[in-house]
Amino acid sequence: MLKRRIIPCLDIKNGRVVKGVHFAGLRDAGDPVEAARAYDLQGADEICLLDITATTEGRETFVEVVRRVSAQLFVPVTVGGGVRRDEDVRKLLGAGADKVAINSAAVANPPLVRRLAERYGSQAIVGAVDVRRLPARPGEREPLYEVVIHGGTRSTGLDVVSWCRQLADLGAGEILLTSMDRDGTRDGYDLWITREVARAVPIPVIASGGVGSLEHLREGLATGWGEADAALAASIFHFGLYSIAQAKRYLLDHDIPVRPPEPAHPALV
Amino acid sequence: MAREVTIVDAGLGNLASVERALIQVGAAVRVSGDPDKVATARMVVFPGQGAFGPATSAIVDGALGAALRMVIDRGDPFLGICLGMQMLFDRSEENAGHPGLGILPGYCRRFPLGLDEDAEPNARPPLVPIMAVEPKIEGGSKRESMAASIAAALEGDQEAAAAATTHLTSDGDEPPRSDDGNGEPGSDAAGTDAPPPAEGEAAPAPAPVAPPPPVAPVAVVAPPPVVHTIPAVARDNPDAPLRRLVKVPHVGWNAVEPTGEHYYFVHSYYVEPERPEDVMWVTSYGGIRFPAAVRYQNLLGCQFHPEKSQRAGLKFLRAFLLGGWG
Repeated sequence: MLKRRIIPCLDIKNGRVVKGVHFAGLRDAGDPVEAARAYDLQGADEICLLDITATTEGRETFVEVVRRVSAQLFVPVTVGGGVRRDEDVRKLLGAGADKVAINSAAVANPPLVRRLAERYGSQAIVGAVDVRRLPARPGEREPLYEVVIHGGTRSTGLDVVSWCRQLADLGAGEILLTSMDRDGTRDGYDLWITREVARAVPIPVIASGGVGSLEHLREGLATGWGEADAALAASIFHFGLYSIAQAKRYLLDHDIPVRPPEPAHPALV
Repeated sequence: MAREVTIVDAGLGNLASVERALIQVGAAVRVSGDPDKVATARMVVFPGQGAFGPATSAIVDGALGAALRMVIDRGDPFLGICLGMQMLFDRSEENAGHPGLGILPGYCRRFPLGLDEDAEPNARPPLVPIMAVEPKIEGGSKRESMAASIAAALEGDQEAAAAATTHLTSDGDEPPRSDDGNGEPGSDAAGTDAPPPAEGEAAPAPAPVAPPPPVAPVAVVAPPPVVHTIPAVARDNPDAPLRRLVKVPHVGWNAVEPTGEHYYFVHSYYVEPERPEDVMWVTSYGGIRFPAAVRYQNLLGCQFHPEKSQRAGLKFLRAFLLGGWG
């Protein structure tokens, strides 16, 4: 049976790992290569690197980070953040990334997703979707969500589920769904929208935003809860709260199928 | 003593990680897309990502395909990864039936949507995993004809190349696509299962006064449209058992039988081999059991990505390098 994936995520700014609350208020959390290697040794199923620098020099630094990190790892590496053009994707894949996440650029220019998927294969293109829960309105039984872009600063009015379906139709191979409201809060994933999307699209969904405990990982992945195919988390792993192996043992104890933690990792072969 | 491995650069995806992984396990690596270099390699790794399509057809029909067949035919160690493994088989059933190298009998199929994740493996004849088959290296008996086919392909002489290669593939069952022989409407170009049922064709249309077919003979069956909506789960009925439908592509870590080891997969198509004895390891997804790894004589193929499968993947590559299985 296919296992759910645990994906530690490193937010990268100017070549360093940082982590913020609500996409702002950043704290330094160390060297990306060191962090990525530690996760690899603990048995992370995949590593995610997100570029949260907005500047041109920052972009070049990020490509360099991707190159240095992926040169060390034998697990898939997903990268994203500020990817606008075909050229960006080519550079990142060339630097060793396995998958590139497209966010705002996909909203601005949906055919870009199709073109990229045709050129590099669907498996290399991840549709990143940042979502925000809209204020509750009287009479609504279910919460409403919209897609936001540019790091959560701009709303689009797009319905989340239909946009995710459209991304799948355009050829995206996975959806990386981040709740803006939860990001960095450690309150847990937004389970409602995660499950809605996971049930609506035929491609795997990675839950993101809000993990503060191992139970949150379980919630995001469990059938009837978040139903995501993979759980992405940043801060609980960064600051040494939990190791990947602890997370996996917890999930296995709670009947979530994950790849068992690696044995105290000997040197790779 | 480093073993020299040639990674085939066929333009089917990123090779850097395959290269790094092989270096990690001690290989001396050469990357080449040159048919001459590939044909003379002593150990070949053929990686690929994606699906059958015009690009794979060009490889199969071209000089590179001939070079790959030559290496395999000569009995040198050969590893196909993901699409590189799928291409060892006859053809893809969909995508209008693009051909494979036709070295192993079998087809490539797309995972259907809407499969239940917890479904029991279906009733089709189970694939029997086997282990520890001694590599049976056949001498270079067909070397001359291989060389002929490569020479022909290099000269762009498609006909001669085709003739030479069909002679080589053990059972020359590559159906002549787009030939007038199968011009009846409804004839299946993919030719997947049994021969077309004659009675089904003949009964509705008594032939004698049949007018000539109005349009071009059916050579290519249009692939079924990819349906991107999966059946909704009944959320309104809380008593209904929770079920979860599988996603396509099959992305992530899955265990293989019989070793129980986990490897990283990413693919939308899987192989359905005709000979169970070619299957080395099996994986299941949504009730479909498919080969995670195949083996035939000097030939090894894996559906997963060993270069992305951490310790287990490196161990696999190492074993290939050292030629030890079982």
